[in-house]
Amino acid sequence: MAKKKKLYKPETGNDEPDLTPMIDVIFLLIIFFLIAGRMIQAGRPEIDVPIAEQSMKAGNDDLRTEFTIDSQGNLYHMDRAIGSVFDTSNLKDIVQNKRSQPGGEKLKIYLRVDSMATYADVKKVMGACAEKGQTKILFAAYSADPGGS
Amino acid sequence: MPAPVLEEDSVDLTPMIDVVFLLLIFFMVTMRIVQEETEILVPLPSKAESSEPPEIPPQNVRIEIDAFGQVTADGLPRDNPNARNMPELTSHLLQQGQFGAKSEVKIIINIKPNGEARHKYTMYVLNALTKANKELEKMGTPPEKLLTQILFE
Repeated sequence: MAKKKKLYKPETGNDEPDLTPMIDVIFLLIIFFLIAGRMIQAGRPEIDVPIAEQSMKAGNDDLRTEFTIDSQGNLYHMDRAIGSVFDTSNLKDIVQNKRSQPGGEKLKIYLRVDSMATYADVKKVMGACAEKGQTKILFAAYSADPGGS
Repeated sequence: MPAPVLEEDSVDLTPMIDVVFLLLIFFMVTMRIVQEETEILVPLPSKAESSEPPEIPPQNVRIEIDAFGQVTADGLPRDNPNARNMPELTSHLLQQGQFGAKSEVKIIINIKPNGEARHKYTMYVLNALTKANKELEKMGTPPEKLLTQILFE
């Protein structure tokens, strides 16, 4: 007599769904948001850049350095505070140093200015750049409203 | 003697899942989507450019911005301060650019914002200038005839 084939029979008795993959995914999401949030904090000073629809995508091939003016007139080089617009000596030193490097004549200043900063503040920085022979200035903008309105 | 009732050893995961979901919702709500920044090039006049006086005197387009953001171009108020696209100013600059392209006259854009004017209003003017230049480029205006001579007062 032929041996009766044993059919697969799912185990019964444990009806609870396996939550492990869901917990894995949720932990991964939390780690993502934690790291992304930290990256935003550690980066450049947070300011409200004005909107200019005709602005172009920022290039990264040129020799450039970045300054930020916040709404209070504080001045930053990259993520480091370097005083205020009333004392641009640090800014002038940085520009001079960058311009003295090979290819320094092609330097572009990427100026991030808060939309509520006054023209008087911007003028001081532009004047300091011009004093060091820096004529190419790029103003940071958003090409569309970040709020979507 | 009766055998002791064996309790199930599995850990109850429900409170942990509750906490984890709360954390996830917190991070999702507080996180701001970072938008990529773009740029507008402003070439400032160099000393070398201003050393030689031009043969034909240049024509100035004088743009003033008051403390409240009202823009005046060549003596006439243009656009509402909240009109980010500045259609009237763009149209005026386009006209001036076309005139400059047809004639030998160099057009200099003279921007004079009030010291108290917010930076966003200067950017609106630069945006209008960029738009006018793009239109001029589309019309076949050579690059040297575009409105690229900008003076800030």
